[in-house]
Amino acid sequence: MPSGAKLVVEAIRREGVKAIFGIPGLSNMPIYDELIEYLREEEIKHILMKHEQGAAHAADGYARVSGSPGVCTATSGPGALNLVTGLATAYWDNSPVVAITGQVPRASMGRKSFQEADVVGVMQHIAKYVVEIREATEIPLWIKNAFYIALTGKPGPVVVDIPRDLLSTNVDSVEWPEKPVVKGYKVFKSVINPNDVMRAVKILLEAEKPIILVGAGVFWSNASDEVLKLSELLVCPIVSTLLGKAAIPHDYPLYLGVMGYYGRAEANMAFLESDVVLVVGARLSDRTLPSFNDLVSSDKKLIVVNIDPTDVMKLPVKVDVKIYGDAKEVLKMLIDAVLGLGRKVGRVEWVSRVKELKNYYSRYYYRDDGYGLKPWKVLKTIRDVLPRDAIVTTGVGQHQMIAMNFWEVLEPRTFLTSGGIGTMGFGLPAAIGAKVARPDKVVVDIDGDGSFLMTMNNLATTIDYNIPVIVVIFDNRSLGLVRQVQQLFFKGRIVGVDFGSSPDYVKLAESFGALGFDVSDYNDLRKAFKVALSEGVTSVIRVPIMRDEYALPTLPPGGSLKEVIVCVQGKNC
Amino acid sequence: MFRGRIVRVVCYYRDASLLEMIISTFRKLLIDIDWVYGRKVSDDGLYEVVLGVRDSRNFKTAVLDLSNTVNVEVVEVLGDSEGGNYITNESINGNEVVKIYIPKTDIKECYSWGEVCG
Ligand SMILES: Cc1ncc(C[n+]2csc(CCOP(=O)(O)OP(=O)(O)O)c2C)c(N)n1
Ligand SMILES: [Mg+2]
Repeated sequence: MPSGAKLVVEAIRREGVKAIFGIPGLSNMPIYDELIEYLREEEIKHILMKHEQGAAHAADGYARVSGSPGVCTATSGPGALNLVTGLATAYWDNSPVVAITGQVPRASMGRKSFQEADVVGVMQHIAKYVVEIREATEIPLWIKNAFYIALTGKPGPVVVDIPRDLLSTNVDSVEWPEKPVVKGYKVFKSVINPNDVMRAVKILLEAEKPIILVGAGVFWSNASDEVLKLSELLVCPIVSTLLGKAAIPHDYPLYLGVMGYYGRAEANMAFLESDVVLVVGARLSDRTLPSFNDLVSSDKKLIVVNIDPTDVMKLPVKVDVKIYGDAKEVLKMLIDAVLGLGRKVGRVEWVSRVKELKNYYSRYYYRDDGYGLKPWKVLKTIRDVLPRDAIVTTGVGQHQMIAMNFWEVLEPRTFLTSGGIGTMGFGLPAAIGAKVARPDKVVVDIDGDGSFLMTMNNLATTIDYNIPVIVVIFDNRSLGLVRQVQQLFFKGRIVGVDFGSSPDYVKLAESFGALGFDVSDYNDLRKAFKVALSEGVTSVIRVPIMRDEYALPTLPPGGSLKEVIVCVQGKNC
Repeated sequence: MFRGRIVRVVCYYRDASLLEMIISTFRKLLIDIDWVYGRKVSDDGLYEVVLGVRDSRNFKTAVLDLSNTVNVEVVEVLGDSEGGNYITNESINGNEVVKIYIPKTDIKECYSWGEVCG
């Protein structure tokens, strides 16, 4: 008679899970005990993380790279609570993660017993769904349901909370469900009306200055090829959101970069100047479009493709054509419709205007005054030594905004960042998850010093489990992005952002058994990467960045895209 | 007649967190709730929860979010016509202990996982 814990492990194996990121404790120990057999048979790997936040980010990174749900586990109370930030990060970015948490035995509940925490109460607001298991017999079905909910519709994290007594209960008859059964849950219908497709295509063909805005939906539906094809056929430039960036190879000549708050000025300007916007898989968040006035005040036509109709219903602007469906499917239909009409478009003027914008703003971006290492040049140096398909993760801050604008993604799904909720500390654990999902790829975490310090304890995991990743620390001894905002918008009143001389990143890396590099010029950086790549061991490369470097372009808080700041206080001017 | 907005949520009960989720959808959008009642409708766990909430610019967002919440089958926005009434129960020592407003309603719009009905 299998125990509840055995059912948990067998159920996740049946879902095709290859790796679990977690930390054991009293309440999930029965699961670990059952896991032993699977580890021995090498059916599943367990990666012991150093903090549960890292476990959730690693599962998230795994999911973003593989497209399959990432799995993490934690014990009750503090263990489960430590998952919160990681799960919220996955929720905001629609990443399918399944978290399995142990809970105190049912008889102990409500007594402030040891390591008791109301996981349902806490998690239900930061996850797509949380289920508390009531009977051991329902474990197989609810694990299946959890994977189903996590991966379908708009993906997101699901938490399965299991009281310890149920993990130890033996079940005499086990039913392995073939299909999930979740009452009151529906996968969004992809009912694409051919008339809408045709209307959209006509508007796009007749447009003088159309643009495609690519969001995370293109990433999740693996629709990169389709979006490029449509752009080519329509001779239509592309801009993206931060998460949509990962869907577009940047050597595509009509890609202008990420638009929005810290986005590329040419992307913002092209968006403003366009007469038709085709939005694919983006919800027009406040980061992408800080002020809806930019849409309201124009007579642009808006075509929106989204799998979730409620995202479109929430838009406070008029949408000319709404198409509800999976991005890949809709894009294919749009392509077929364009081909079917057989009309060719030239758009020479628009393309040359877009190129003009690109060239114009490049003059501001690629400057080198010889004062310290320039972040854009650091990224370029790294790009040149990495294979096309290297995966990059980031922390949150200036370095992230700089990577958003200057890291060249060359293959889809190779750029992972916390876009929706902006979680510092995402970089290293997400890199671990990415490397576990794709051990064949080079994985690099481009991190800020502040972000790295939040989850750097997981360096130990990369050594213990031989998960070699390369961490590049943009070391400005500061919470740079906050400092920049204080400098620009709080009258230069700098407070609570500067670090002292601690730590020494090389010694820190070495203490973990990683390689540590301190670079002082681009050549050093190149050399450090060569060694890191050839040694195949986790490496930490500290790149000094001046504390007063800015991440530009930016906007004033709540500002319009028109107010994009490309040069300020002598920076980039 | 109730001056706020009336919402009927048809949903499946797994545990009482269902009610928390419904209520918090309004709470998260700073919408106040004047009254609420709910009941089990069928043995397979179908519930209906009816809420009277204050009108708000966030009302539509709340309804849409609720209509995309796991376990929620459909969310109806009800119109309240004249003739709704209060049922009160004054049985304990003559004190009014239960007061439920039963609106006389018709469905204005309804939402279910991206589908619009009504
Ligand atoms: C967990 C968390 N805490 C606080 C913030 C607010 N915040 C945004 S950027 C930033 C500074 C990040 O510093 P660092 O990682 O060193 O990056 P830099 O801006 O210096 O490149 C802070 C504190 C956040 N996004 N996440
Ligand atoms: Mg920093």
